[in-house]
Amino acid sequence: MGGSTSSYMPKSRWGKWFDERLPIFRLMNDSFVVYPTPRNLNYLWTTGGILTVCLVAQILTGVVLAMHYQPSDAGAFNSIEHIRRDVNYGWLLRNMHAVGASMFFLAVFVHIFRGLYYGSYKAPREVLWILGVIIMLLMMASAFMGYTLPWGQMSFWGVTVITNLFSALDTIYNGLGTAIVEWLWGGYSVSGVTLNRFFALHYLLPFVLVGVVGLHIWALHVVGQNNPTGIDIKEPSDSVPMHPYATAKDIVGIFAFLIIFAWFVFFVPDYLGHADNYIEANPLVTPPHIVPEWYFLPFYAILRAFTSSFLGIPLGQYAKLCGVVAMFGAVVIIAFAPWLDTSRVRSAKYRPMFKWFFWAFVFTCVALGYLGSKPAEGIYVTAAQIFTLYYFVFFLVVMPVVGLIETPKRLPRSITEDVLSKGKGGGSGSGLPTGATAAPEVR
Amino acid sequence: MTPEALEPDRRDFLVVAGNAFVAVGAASLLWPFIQQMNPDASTKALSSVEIDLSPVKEGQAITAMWRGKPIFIRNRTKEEVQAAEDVDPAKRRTRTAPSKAMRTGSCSSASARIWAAFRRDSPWAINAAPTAAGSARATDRLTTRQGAYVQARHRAISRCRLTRLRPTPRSKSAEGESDHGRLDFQLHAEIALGQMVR
Repeated sequence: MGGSTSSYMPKSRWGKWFDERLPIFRLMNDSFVVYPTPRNLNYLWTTGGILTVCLVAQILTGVVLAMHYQPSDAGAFNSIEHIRRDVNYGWLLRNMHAVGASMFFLAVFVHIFRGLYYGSYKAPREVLWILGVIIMLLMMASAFMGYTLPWGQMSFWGVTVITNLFSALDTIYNGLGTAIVEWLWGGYSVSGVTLNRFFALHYLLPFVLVGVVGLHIWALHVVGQNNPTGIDIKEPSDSVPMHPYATAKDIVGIFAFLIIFAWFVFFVPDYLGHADNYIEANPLVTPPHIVPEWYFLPFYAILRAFTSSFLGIPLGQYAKLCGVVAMFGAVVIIAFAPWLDTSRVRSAKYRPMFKWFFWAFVFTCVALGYLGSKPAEGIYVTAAQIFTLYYFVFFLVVMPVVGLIETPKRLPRSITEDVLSKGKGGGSGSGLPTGATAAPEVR
Repeated sequence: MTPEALEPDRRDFLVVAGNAFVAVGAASLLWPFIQQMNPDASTKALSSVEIDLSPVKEGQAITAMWRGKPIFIRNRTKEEVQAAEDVDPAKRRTRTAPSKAMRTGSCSSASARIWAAFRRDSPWAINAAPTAAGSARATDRLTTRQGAYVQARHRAISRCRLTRLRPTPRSKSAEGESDHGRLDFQLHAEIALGQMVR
């Protein structure tokens, strides 16, 4: 990171004394104050800061909720109601945590789409990208186990369905899947024992997340941030210090995000949840439609797209296994994007062909989300199969092939040139005279 | 730096206003996180207790729970009351003063008697146990004549304020049955923390 090139100068004698012993303030200064950020970052680059806020908010509200929550089959449901009604500001803290999970995923999806669009996964950011995929997997595991805790009907049946997925392994080796499922459950069905261990893991995983996020930021600061042009920083005028430029922009993005967040928390806290989860878990009554939270719906649609056949291909007894493999594969395949994409141009801004395939991919993800909320029957299944196919085609065919056949647009020579050319050409430019922002930190 | 840069400009105003906004927001966000650890509504609902004193015969003591601690209520015998009465007030370490309601005679007989539990001349004795170890001692005291006197001047008790807040259907029906009729009361005892520890 900063290393020997650090420009940090302790202001006081005490600061100097401390810096020689533990240069943490130097690290903070080099990483978050003077750190050079591309000058052309748009608002999509504020999602990193937004996600940090989300993680911190989830941990703080979660720790507080754990003070009032009872992880037992007898107490869980009632303790949530107790939190909502009796605990001082419990309604607020609980809503913040429940809505916060949705907001976290909303931000992370935007963050990932941004990475895909601007080619942030390409060399030298492969490790950074893989760490991001690991973060998303950890988030999914945390959210899944967290959704179990209210112990409503959707909690119970959602866990039953998803944990049962492992039983598909029985088709590979008889008894293997069942053994794994019983091990997960700690019994022969989802019970209070399962709830208790999920609570323990739900408390643990966010701290693991913090660790991986630390690595993610470290990796980011080693290779530097990508930017809308996808060109590296080449000259001093390409970058501005992180503070106050990127931080101020981050704060604007965070506030805009918090307005949406607060709207959900205060006005429609249950909109993103499911009404059935206000019925206590009952193993004797199955809800008519078991659906996961909205952020899992695209993956759920992929899972259910594999019925007895997939687009005419009979699957037989392997249907469930195929669905499970496809669902997990849909996440894991993202990690391989750096090697699947053959184009040397990072940003889709300069990739006329890839751009369209990218937006088709975004549409596919949204469509899969819609289909995941619908019953798995009739036209919904066929549509889900088509979109599932494109989901994988995007990674396995579009990324390698389009990179080879596409003619990219001419790249600007530098970030500075790109920024300044916008002012000249009129039209979409900001109208600033040339050099107006060349040294914006100087008054 | 130009002279006008020293003058507060629009940016300075925005920075100050923005920071003030964030400070207020952060403080109001912090408050729920602190407040959630205070006794919640379900705990507060149980912070006053109603105890039926009618079955407690003269000379009998009962133990009731209040705010997670035992309270010892004793219907003192005439002799015990007299023994307490006979103590020279000058030698008492603490004294209790009649409430305004008592002095003006505006309170009901029931609440008067409950309040009187803190007076050495009342047949009712109420003792709050400071600790588990202390509760055994307190019980012990109540079984002797001397104990009645000791607890009558107990500091922890002297700080208890008992109020008959609202007549309940139960107490209404019992009224007039006898002088020792049902006594439904809410115990609003504010025992100072130091007293509890002692």
